[in-house]
Amino acid sequence: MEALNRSAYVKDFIANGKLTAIRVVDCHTHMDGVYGTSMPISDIDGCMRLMEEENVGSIWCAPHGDLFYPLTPNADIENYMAKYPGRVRGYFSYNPNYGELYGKNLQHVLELPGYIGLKLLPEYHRYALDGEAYREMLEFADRHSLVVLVHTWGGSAYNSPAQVQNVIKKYRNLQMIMGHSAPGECEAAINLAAKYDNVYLDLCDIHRNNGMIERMVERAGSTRILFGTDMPWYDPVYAIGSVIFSHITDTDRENILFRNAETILTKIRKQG
Amino acid sequence: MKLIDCNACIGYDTVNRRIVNHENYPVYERVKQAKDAAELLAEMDFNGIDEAVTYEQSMFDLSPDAGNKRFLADTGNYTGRLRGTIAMLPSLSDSAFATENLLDIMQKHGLVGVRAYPERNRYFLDRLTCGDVLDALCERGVPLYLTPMEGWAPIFEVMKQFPSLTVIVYNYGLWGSDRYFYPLVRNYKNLYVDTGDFQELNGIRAFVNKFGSERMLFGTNFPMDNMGGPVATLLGCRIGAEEKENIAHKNIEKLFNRMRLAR
Repeated sequence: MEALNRSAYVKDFIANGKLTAIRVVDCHTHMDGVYGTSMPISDIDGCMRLMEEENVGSIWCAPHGDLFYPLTPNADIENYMAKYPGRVRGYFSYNPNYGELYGKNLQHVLELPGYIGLKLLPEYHRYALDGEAYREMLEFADRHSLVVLVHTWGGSAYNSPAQVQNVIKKYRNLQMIMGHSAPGECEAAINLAAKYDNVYLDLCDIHRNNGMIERMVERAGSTRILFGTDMPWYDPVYAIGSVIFSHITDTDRENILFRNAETILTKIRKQG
Repeated sequence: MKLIDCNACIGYDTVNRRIVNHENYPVYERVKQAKDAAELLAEMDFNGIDEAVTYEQSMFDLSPDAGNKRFLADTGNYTGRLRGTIAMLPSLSDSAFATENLLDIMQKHGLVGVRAYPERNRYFLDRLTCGDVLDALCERGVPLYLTPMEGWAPIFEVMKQFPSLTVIVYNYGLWGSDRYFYPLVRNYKNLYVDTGDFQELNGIRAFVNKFGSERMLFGTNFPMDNMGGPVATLLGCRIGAEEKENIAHKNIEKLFNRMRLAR
């Protein structure tokens, strides 16, 4: 039966098996294998082929190796940015347990054109976002209006909305993406995005919950929401379906799928 | 393309709502639920879904007995474009769930599956405890819906003991679970996977390339999942049109036709 959803993007998708009218920007991706989950495809080349099939134009990426293997900090993302310029934009991953190993290359963020900001993973690194070891990184990001993708989760002692609020009150120039939008405390995440104009909600994982996208749009507005998938954990097509089939307008869909990401990039000031 | 959702929920969760990330890893987050069949059908219309197999959340939250009664009291839950399922308990302790009663109720109301929540109701889904009912489900080709939300071991165990049982695995969370699915699908020919939670990158195509398209059923796991994600995942999947049709509706229609409830 024909869907009553009259979105032009639903029609486009049903007719073509993918979105053809717009190129999606995925603001939350990783690359390569990691413990605990199975992935039919996880390498950058395979993901690039799949992105082409699904018309995902570019990704913002923090490879698993950079997040979990401290002896070669950010080697993977710098390889991938060099191999796919313009299609892979990089997060400089920072593990506060090995601050000296990561921090020594921080200038790469300004020197390499593919870098757009930082990726912080407080829960997995077991160090709270508002702790001292992150201060230098956050000050650096704030100075240059960089993107800071922070893993957030409800009830966490490391990266709940409460920790985000502690940080964001001090840093009003960096552009913070609340990775996953704090599942379990999503309402608090929405409140932060509505209150602070440099905080964004990320749909990664949370998009699948029925009615979540509508709630975010209604409470925070579609200009505060970014499309993210955790690729290669998850296939962008599922998240695209969550967005285009939701009860929002096509302008909202455009904001979420690519426009907000483009706007964020224009605010970065590497020369500042 | 005709779409039959193999697994959609009617009713409100006591806690809105337990979302499964993977086994024993829940998140409680508010979702938009369907309080009755009319609300479920409206959402199906919005997403282009023709039919659905349904259950009532109170079968899990309250009790199988009370949940079944509430579900069956409203024929709108399981007629027309909707088909119903019923929850079970061991007949030895709960005589109302004797095999004959269960099958009679299913036949009377045109139900198309049984649900078991063994951990929730503190019993083992094994021959010792449930042999009578499970033998009957095997013999009559009645699908048993199982979720690994509290672990995969009980599903492996029941399949070892009842290898011909028809099982639909649903609500398994979004983390990739191929290391559980693949051995089950390879070894048990009547085990099926609901696509509702299946977000793996290239996951459906990889599954179909390995096992064919006859072992997956389109599902939404609504309302833990929205309907649009699973719809797009199937429609956008780069497999053959015939394979999509199998997953979209033909496989579950075969299950409907294979059931023999009459005594």
